[in-house]
Order: sequence, then C-alpha cells, then structure tokens
Amino acid sequence: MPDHDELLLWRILGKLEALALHKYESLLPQLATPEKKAVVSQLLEAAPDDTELEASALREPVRELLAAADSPVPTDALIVQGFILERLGQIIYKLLSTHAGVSPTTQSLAQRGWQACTSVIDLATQQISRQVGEGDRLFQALCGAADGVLRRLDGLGEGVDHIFGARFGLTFSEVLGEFTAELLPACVALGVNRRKLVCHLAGVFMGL
Amino acid sequence: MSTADRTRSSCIPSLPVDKQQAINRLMGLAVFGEMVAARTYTLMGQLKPEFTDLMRKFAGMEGQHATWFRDASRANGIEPDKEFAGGELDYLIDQVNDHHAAHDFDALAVIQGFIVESMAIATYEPFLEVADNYPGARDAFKKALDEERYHVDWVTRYLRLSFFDREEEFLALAERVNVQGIDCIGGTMMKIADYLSEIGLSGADCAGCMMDGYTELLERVGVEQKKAAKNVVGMFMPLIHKYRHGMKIK
Repeated sequence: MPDHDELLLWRILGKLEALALHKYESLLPQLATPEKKAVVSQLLEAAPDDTELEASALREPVRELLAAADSPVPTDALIVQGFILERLGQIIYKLLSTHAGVSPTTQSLAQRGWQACTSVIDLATQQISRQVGEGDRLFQALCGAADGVLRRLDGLGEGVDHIFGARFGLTFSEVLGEFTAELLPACVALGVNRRKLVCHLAGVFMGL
Repeated sequence: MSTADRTRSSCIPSLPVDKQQAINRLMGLAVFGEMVAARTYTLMGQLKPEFTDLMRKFAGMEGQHATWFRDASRANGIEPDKEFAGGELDYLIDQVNDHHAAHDFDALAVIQGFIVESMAIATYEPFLEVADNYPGARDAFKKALDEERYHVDWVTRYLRLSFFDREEEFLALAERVNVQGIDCIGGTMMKIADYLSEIGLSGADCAGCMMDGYTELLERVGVEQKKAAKNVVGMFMPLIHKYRHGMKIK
C-alpha cells in the first residue's frame, strides 16, 4: 500500500495532471489521451482531497504553480503543459517507477504515468512544430509562455527536499537538472539554439 | 591540506559591491587564475614526459596572460583583488595538487583543459563587449581568449584519442573530476555573477555559456548529447539554487 508520503505525492501529481487534462480537453483535445485520463482518474481516486497537502509546506508553492500554469491561451497550454510540465512529470514518474523504496502500487501507477506523459509529449511536440513554429520563433514563444511556470518551480524546492528528500533520496535541484537535460535536446531538435536557451534558463533559475 | 579537509569559506557576495570593487575582484580572479593555470600545466608536464615541452609552452602562455591582464589593470586603475582570488582558487589548487599527487594526468586535463578553460572562455568572450571601457584590455583578452581555445583544442584531441571508443570510461573520469571541479569552478561562476552584472555583462549568460561550453566539450570527446547535458546541468543546478537563495556556495 502507498504510504503517507506517496499519497501526498499522488495528490500533488493528481492536481497538476488534472489541470493538464482540463487544459487538453478544453483547448487541445488531441492531447486528452485515454492513457492520460486513466492516470488522472486513478490519482484522484487514490488521493481525493487536499487535507494533507493543505497541512504541508507545499500548499502555497503548489497553488502558485497551478495558477501560473492555468493560461487560457491554447499555445501557452501546449507549451507549458504539453512540453514543460509533462516532461517534469515524466521524470518524476520514471524515478518512482524504478524506486525500490516505494510500494508496488506506486511503481505501477508511475509506469502508466510515464507512458501517458511520453505519448502526450510526442503529440505536443508535433503540434508545437505546426502551431508555434521552430527555431527562434519557438524560443520566443517558450520564454513567453513558460518563464512564469519555470520560476515557480523553484518555490517547490525547499518543501520537496524537506518532505521527500530523505524518503526518495534526491533533491529537487537534481530533478530540475534531469528535467533541464531532457528539455534541452528536445528544444534543439526543434531548431532552438541551445546556447541561447541554456543562458536563458540559467537566468530564469537564478532569478535574474 | 587535502581537498576534503579544507574548510570551505563562505564568501557569497552578501553585500552589494560597486563597479570598482567588482572589476578589482574579476581582474583578481583573471590574473591569479592565469597563474594557477600556468602552474597546473607545468604539473601536467611533469607527469607525461612526452608532453613536457608542450605543457611548458602552455604554462608560458598562461603566465603571459597574467602579465597582460596585470598591465591592463594597472593602466586602468584596477587593483586585482588577491584576497578574493585566493579564496576562490585555494580549493582549485587543492584539487590540482591531489590529482598531481595521484599522477592523474587525465583528471588534470579535464579540470584544467575543460572546466577551468570553459569558465575563462565564458567570461573573456562576453568581456570583449565591454572591454573598450578599459583601454588596452580588449587586445589582452582577445589574444588570451584565442590561446585558451588553442589549449582546449589540444586537450579535446588528447582526450578524444585517449578515450577513443571508451566513452563510458571517459564519462566516469569526467564525473569523478566534475563532482569537485564543477562545485569549485561553477561555484566561483555563481559567486561572480553579480560582479559581472555590475560591469555591464550578464551573469546568467556567462553561467549559461560555461554550462553549454563544457557540455559541448564533453560531446566533442564522444559523450552523447543528453548524457553530457545531464552531467553538466545536473551539477550546476544545486549551485544555481544556492545562488538564488543566497545560500553558502562553497
């Protein structure tokens, strides 16, 4: 059975995934895949309320992240949800799916979550190429849509490290490192200049 | 004193510095950093007799850079801040001494040829944009930049040949050296970010250029793009986090 920490993580993932699904259903229906719906449903069913989250240090950072990721503009949702947050989710799910210290239920859910994220990222990447464009055009759109979300990710760090650090044996900055290392080649594949992007991300994460 | 034993000083730029203090510290790092580089290449030459002459040549070039930078400083009323530079470079010197004591030429090649040179290139290159504010500095930094690239070219070719078809072994070497090397040099980059901004550069751009430059070097030796990025970015992120939150960096 998932323990207290796992359920709190499920709740956070559930809220983020539910927002993503809502955005897909209302703005980008092709990204509202059956796999994503099934994962969201399972997360919300297993961790249905905010009681634990509200009592934790992550309450405010999660609320701020959700607010920043709630743009009504379809291209913003495509970039923020389909390209950025799905990738972050993919890394967290991958980590959980192979972590020896989590329950089999969490491992199994994480495996399905990883698959759902991977499919959505593929679809979103195709859509980005068509709807937003590539190269510098995409770089500008990426900065405009995602900077606010990326800046707010930093707010999660302290709480995540405090609550999950010892439990899962890694820090949030390590997760961000993995995330950035995944994001860079994905952007380069769409013609974004890597150095320009690395410099921009350094500024965003340094808070400059 | 070994690297592990050294007590790391906390010298986050907690108070705002003025432009003069910023350039004094940056030039201190440039002048004394070049002197450390000269010493490192000399030590490398002691470990592989077939490269002694070449390493001696590199050491001479680095020493020349220090002289150029000192002259440019003098011409512009800049007093290179030795104390600040010492606080930053002592940790690097410890690592160099440890690798030299272990007769580890390859580790020295990575730390000097890749990590230290990446930082030099990532700061000298953008400095050229503001160099005309300091008469005489442009020529000095332009020549030094070209020569640092020449050193990096040699180190890249050396490592590529040494680890040809042994990517995993090279990655293991890079990871071993990076753990302390990026903590040290990347940490210094974070600490000078505000000074760079003070003289009209972007601290974030310099940090980004260093990350990307070092990632490129790993790729040129044969490390796959994603692995290289993960290795470098993964180690910079904790430093960036510390910078953002005003925490002790090293």
